[in-house]
Amino acid sequence: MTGKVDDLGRAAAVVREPVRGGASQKILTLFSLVQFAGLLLLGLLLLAPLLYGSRYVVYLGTLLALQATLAVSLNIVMGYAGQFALAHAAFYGFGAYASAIFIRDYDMTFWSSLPPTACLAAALAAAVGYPSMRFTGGIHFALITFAFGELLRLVAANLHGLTGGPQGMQLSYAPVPVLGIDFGSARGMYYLAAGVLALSMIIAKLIRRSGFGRSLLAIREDEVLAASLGIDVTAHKVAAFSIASVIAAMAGAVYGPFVGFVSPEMMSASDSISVVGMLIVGGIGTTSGPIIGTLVFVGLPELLRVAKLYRLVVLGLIIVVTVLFVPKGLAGLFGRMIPTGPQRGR
Amino acid sequence: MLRLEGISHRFGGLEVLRNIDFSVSERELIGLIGPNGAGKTTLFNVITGFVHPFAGKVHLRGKDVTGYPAHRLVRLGLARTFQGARVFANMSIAECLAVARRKRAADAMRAAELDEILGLLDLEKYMSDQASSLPSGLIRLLGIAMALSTGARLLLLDEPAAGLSAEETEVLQRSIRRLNQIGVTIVVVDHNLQFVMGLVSRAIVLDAGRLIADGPPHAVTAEPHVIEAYIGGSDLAED
Amino acid sequence: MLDFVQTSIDGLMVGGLYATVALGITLVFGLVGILNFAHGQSVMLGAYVTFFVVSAGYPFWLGALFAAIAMGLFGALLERAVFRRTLGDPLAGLAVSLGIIMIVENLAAAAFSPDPRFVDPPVSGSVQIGPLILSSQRLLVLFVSVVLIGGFNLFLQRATLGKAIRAMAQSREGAALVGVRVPMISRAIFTIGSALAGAAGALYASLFAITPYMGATPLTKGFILAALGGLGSVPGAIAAGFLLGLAESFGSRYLSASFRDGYGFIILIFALLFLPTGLFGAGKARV
Repeated sequence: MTGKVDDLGRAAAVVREPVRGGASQKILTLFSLVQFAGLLLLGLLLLAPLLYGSRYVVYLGTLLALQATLAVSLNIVMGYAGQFALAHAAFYGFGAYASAIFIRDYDMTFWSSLPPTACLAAALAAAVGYPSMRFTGGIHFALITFAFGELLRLVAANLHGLTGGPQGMQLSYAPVPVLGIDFGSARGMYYLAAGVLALSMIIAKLIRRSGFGRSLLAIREDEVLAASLGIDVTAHKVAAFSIASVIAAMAGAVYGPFVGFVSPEMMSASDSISVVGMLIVGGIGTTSGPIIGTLVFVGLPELLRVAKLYRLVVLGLIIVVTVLFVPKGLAGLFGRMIPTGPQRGR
Repeated sequence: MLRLEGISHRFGGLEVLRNIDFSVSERELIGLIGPNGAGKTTLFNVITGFVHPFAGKVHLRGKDVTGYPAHRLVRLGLARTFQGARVFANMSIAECLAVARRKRAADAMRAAELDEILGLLDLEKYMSDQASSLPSGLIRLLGIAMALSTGARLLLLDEPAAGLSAEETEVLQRSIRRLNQIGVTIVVVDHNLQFVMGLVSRAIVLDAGRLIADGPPHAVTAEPHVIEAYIGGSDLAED
Repeated sequence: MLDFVQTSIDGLMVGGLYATVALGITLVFGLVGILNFAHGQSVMLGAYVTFFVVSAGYPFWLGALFAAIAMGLFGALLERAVFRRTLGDPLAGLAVSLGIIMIVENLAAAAFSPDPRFVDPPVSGSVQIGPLILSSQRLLVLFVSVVLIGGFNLFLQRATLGKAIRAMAQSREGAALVGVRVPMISRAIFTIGSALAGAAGALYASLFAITPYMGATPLTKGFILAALGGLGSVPGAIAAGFLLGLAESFGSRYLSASFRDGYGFIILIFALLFLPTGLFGAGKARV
């Protein structure tokens, strides 16, 4: 595992320098090959459950799809807009809890619980994002989201009546069959999770190619300059954050019935930081970065049965090392915005 | 087009702008000058929406825009550049301009006009290069092109000539003149008197927060207060 | 009335704990410019150190002392090995500290197991003052945190190092000009801040359960306080600490106990909405 990460890291670090000359072109091609390989691997992994059907493969595929959705959605606010959002796991958990509570207390079905959950998540994100994203520099936002993530976790642990307290809630519902597909079965859950991932990747791509996305990248580069060119910086940042958080909440809503259980544990700071870490390793702001990060940090350890604790320690180490040693510091971590040389689908 | 009425501002207890009044008409090419510390930068920031003035009003095309944030002003047709070369370093020229072009002012220039301007600034051949790879003279022009791509009709330039070679300065001067000729209203703030005075048709002079002169360059430089302001300060030499 | 006093004392006690943690944060961010999110880990590790010392049969105060010293060293280590390199880039420091949280928190969970541990408080029972019945342990915690804070202030006023720190708070360049060795002071600030957090950890241990994940709450509260009190301002952090403790105490008692941790957050959000220059002074522009 270390070898692969090293290669990725080295390739990534090299490519982040300005590209001149033939040798660099080769490395660029290597990097794009790696990206391609990453996407291919993901594709295989996602298709595998269709082919193999063994329970474990299906389980792994579903888990990976959900984790990758988290990474892809965080990429929208962190990769494109350049803001450190440290509450992503909290929104994930929020989606699971909210959906479960709507189903239990308001007599909704899985599907009908999704829109109100999404709206609530968006409202929360806007309420937290607006006051803190008005300021340049990103520190306020990082601080507020960190505090908010903690707050959500504590609220979930303390509101025994509503959320079942620290033990969490057992969930015994399943998504109602739609179009003849039983999403409640293991395979069905897998399709659902894969669908959510696909949807989030499409949204991310659409944003990337749109004027909105270009404005986000501009904001990431230089907020003040962006403002002087007519971009409403705060509105854009809050929008990106809201979109990312809603997607995370939707993934959470799927996670609930998938594991049959929801608890405050899934909203810990460690989990939020993990998603950030996956992005840092895979390449913030790139298209395949979140996928690679997920594969390396969730896929591999699962396959190798590495305990979650050790995986997180290694991730922490990688974050520290990457941030300290990447050239150009933190700015160098953010993926290059334009390809120099042949057009690639970034 | 732009009218300032009684603009005053203070930082802490220090009054940096005192009761500034002036108007800018369409198609004018104006210079805002004054010794160091006269308040030019603050006034610039007030006009462009980066500072909310303590007192007074700013009118843009008859509309009271006092306190509007910068991005709203851009949508109303006012744009600015920054001191030094401020562009999106990691983006290509084409992308830089594309970012700016998203927001169009209410009476935005038609695409053809915009293309003419860009042709003027002669950036065509560099379109897909990374912005940071340009020489500094061209980066200044890119900054101006970006500001104009927003569709703005009123352009405020912040020290565009600082740190440029004689040759680059001349190119800049010509470009600004051409832009003005095709209809862009321009206000230039700069320390380089030779640059500004050779360029503009009207000069506004600030000293210690007050407006002390307003007229054609040759008349203004002959005025005793102006001379005194500069000799009292340290700003007579060009960069 | 009784209730009111009881609630106030509770609030002050918790506030004292928060303030002790916040002191380290406000100094490190205010003076050295580093956003160290791993500060909470010093609290957590301090609590564990205390636990192990006490489990080995030694008295509580020894455990607390060890905790402070061990965490002081930990802080110095972090500064030298890691944060020295991220000076000038607060977001990089933030990112790095996130990594450190991951490493420390999960190593602790692996080494100590996630099960909560408990330490027998050094004093037990309650004290009766007039009609009030107050828990002795809580009073002790309040007393100790006040002593720590007071001691720290004394240090700032009297000791050479303390004065150097104050000089740096006024002006970094000015301090350097008069011969203050800024890098050394930065390391000292990290060390002291971390030691304070370690001591706070010991106090936490005497009152609450110890888990590897307990660092997040003091960290969050600490940052809120540091921000609200003004960065680099010791009196600000202290005042904010006690006020937050009181707010939480009264909020839980008279409004809702479940939302206890939310009160600080709400205050923070309101502060953000109404402060035009943000929490960190003039440095941040609004867009």
